[in-house]
Amino acid sequence: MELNFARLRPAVFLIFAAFAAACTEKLDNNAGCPILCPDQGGTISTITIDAVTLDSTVSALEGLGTETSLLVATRGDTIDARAIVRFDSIPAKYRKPGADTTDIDVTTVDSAFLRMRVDTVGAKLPSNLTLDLYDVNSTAPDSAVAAIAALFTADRLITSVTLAKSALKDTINIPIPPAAILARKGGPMRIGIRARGPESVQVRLLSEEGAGAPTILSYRVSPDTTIAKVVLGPYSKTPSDQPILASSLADYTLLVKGTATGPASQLNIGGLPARRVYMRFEIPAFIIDSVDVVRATLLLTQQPNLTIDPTDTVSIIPHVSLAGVAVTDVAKAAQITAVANTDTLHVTPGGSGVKTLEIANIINVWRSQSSADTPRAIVLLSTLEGTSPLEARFYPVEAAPDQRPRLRISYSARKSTGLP
Amino acid sequence: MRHRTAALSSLAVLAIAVSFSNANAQGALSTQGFGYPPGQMSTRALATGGGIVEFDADSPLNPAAIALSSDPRMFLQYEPEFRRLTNAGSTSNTTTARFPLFSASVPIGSHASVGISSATLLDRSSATSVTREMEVGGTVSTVTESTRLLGAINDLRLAFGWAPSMKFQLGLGIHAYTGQNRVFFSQSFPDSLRFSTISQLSTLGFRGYAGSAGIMVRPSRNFGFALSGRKGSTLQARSADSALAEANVPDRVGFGAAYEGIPGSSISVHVSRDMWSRMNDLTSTEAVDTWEGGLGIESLGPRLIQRQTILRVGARYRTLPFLAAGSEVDELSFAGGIGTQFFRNRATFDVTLERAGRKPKDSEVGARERAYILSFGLRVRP
Repeated sequence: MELNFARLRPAVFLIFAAFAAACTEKLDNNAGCPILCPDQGGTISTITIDAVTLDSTVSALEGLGTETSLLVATRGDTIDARAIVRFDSIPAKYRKPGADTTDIDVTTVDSAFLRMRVDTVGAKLPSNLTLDLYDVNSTAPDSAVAAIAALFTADRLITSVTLAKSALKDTINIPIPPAAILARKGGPMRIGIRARGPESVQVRLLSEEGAGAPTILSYRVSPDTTIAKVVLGPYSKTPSDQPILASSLADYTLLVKGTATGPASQLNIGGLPARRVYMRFEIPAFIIDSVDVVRATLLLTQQPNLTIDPTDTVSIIPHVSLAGVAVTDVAKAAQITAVANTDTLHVTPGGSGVKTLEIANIINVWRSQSSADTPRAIVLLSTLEGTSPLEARFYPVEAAPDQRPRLRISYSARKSTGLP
Repeated sequence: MRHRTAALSSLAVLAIAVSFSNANAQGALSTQGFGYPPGQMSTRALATGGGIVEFDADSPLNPAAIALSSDPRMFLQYEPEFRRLTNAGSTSNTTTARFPLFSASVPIGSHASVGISSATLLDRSSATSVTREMEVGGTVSTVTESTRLLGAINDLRLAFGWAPSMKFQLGLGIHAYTGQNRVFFSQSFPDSLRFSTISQLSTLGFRGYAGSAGIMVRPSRNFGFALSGRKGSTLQARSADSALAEANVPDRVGFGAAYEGIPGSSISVHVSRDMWSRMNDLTSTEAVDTWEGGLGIESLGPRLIQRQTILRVGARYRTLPFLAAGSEVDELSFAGGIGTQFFRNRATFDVTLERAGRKPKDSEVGARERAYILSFGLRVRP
C-alpha cells in the first residue's frame, strides 16, 4: 500500500513543531509545592549582639565649597550662614559676534541680573524674605571666615531684594545695579548673600556641585536689546596652584555661627559644622564565614535634641569605611568611605527611643574583606551633611546595655549538599 | 573617642550547627529523589512499550543484543517531554529536552560485536519557586524560594556480544556511572534594602560501576527469548574532591519474549525488576525496588514516499523509583511510532509518541501527572 504524503503533511508538521518547541526547556513547576517539595529553605535564626567595639563622633571634614547647596540662614543666636558666589573675571571689553574683531570697552551695563535656584526643602521662611547682596571682594582667603564675614557692611551693600514666601519656588532673579558690575570690570567680583526677615530665616541655594549651572550673572553692555547678553557663571581663580579647590570655591557657604555640638557622651550626627559617627564592629566569625545573613539591623537608642527644629526630619545613611588598619585616626578613617546600598534612617532630632537601621548589605560587603586589613566599620552621616543644622543624637557604646548600639542579625545556616 | 571591647566571648555558646539541607524541592511526581528514569530505551523500543528492549541493539540493557550487528552503526536519540502536573486545583506545564541515548557498535568478524553507549539513568532536571510568609528579625515578610536542579546520572557502557550460532547470543558489559547535578537555590525578599537575598550553588558529581550480562535464545524462527541482568557496584556522590555519600548502583534483571510467527510483524513483551533501594544511602527520599512490564507490536506499514515504513504500538506499566510525599508512583503509558529508512537504507529515522499518566498509589496524595514524550531516533550505518 502506498500512502499519499500530502495526507500526512499535518502530522509531520505537528511533529516537527513539537521538536522545535522542545528546544527551549521550561522546568518551572510550582503546582506540586509544598507537598512535593517540602523543606526548601530551612529556618532563619536571629541573634542580637553587642558588636560595636568603638564609636566616636568626628568632624565631617567636608571641603569648603564642596557642599551641594549653599545654606543661607539667620536664626537669631543659633545659626548665621551666608553664601559667597565668586565671578573672578568680569569682562572689561566686549567683542561683537561675527567677523568684526574689534574690542569695545564696556562702559554701560544694562539689565543685570543674578539668577539663582532655590531649594525650599527644610526651609524656614517667614512671609517675606529679604536677601542682601554685598560686595565682599577681598584678598583674604576664603577660609578666613571672620575676615570675610566682616565685609558684610552697609557701605558694601550692592542691593537688597524682598521676596514674598510664595515667590520662592524654584528660581529667583535679583536685579543688580549696573554700577556694581562696572566697578569690578576687568577684575573679580565676589558677592556675599545674607538673608533676613521678620523671623528666623533659613533657605538653601543650589551650588555648582549640586546642580548644573544653577547660578548665572547676566547683563547687557548696551541698552540695545539686539546685542547679546554677557552670561557669567561662578568662577574662582584662586588658589591658582590648586585648580580643584579653586573650582569648589566658585561658590560656598560661609558659616559664621554654627550649631552647638552635643555632649561628648553622645553620638552626634548632622549639625553645623557637620559631624558624623564612626562605628567599628567585631562580628562573630561564623556570621562572616559560615552562614548567609538575611537581615542585619543596627539598633540605636536616640536621645532628644531640642536645640533646633526638634520636629523636623533628619535622614541618616550608613557608609562603609574603607580605611585600612594603617589609618589609626578614626577622624581620618571616617572620611574614607564608600556609599552602601542600604536603608535610610529617618528621625526627628527631638525623638527618642530605639531606632533601627538595616545594614545587611554592608555585612555582605564585609564577607569579602579581611578584618585584619580593613577594620569592619561604618560611618553614619546625614544626607544633608553640611547644609542642614539638624542633629540627631544617640547613646554610645558606654551606655547601659539596653541603650548602647547593638546589632540584630538574622541568618540562615542552610547549606545545600545537592543530595535529595 | 570611646573604646570598648565587646564581650563576644558569650557567643562561644552559639556553637554553630550549620544545617546541611537536602535539595528536595523537585516539585513533580516523576522528579523526586535523583530524578526520572527515562528507561534506557531506544525510540523503537519505547514505541513497543519496551517489549523489544531486551532484543534491541540500540538499547543498552542486554549486551547480547549487539552480537549480530552486521555493520558498524551509530544511534542518537532526542526525547523532549511535555509534562503537566495537577495538584489541588493548580496546574504546571513543563518542557524537558533530553538526549537520553547514544550508542555505537562495530562488528568483529561475523559472529561478534563490540559497542559503546551512553544513556540517561536518572534525569533530575526540575525547577520550583515557592512564595511564603516568614518571620525575619521580628518582621513577617514574604520570601520567594527558588530551586533549580540540572543534570543527570548517566550510564556509560562498553559491551561485547557474541553469537556462536543463530539460535544463541550472549553478551557482557561493563558500566561506569557519571554525571553531575547542579542545584541552584535562592531565597529572595521583596524589600531588598532590608533583606539580603541568599544564593547557593552546589554541584554534585557521581562515580559508580556495574557489570552486566545477557543472553538471547531463538529456539525456532517464530520465538525468541532474552534475559539480562546488571550487578551494581558502589555509587558515590561527590562534591569537589570529597565523597558525600556512598551507596550502590541498582541491580537489574529483565526478561523478554518475542513472537514473529506473523509475517512482517512481531509481538514482544518484557518484564524487569530494578533494585533502586540500593541507592538509599545516597538520599533521604526513599527509593523503592520497582517492577516494569510492557507489551508491543511492530509491523510493516504502508509505503510512504516510496519507502517502506514500520509501525509500532505498545503499552507499558511501571512504578517510579522514588517516593513522592511518601507514596509510590505508578506510571502507565501508551505509545505509537513509525520508522523508515533513507539514503539507500543506510539511515533509519524513528519517531515515537508516548503518553504517560502518573499517579501516587496513596490516594491521599492528590497530585496527578500527565506527560507526552516525543522520541526521535536516528540510526546510521556509515
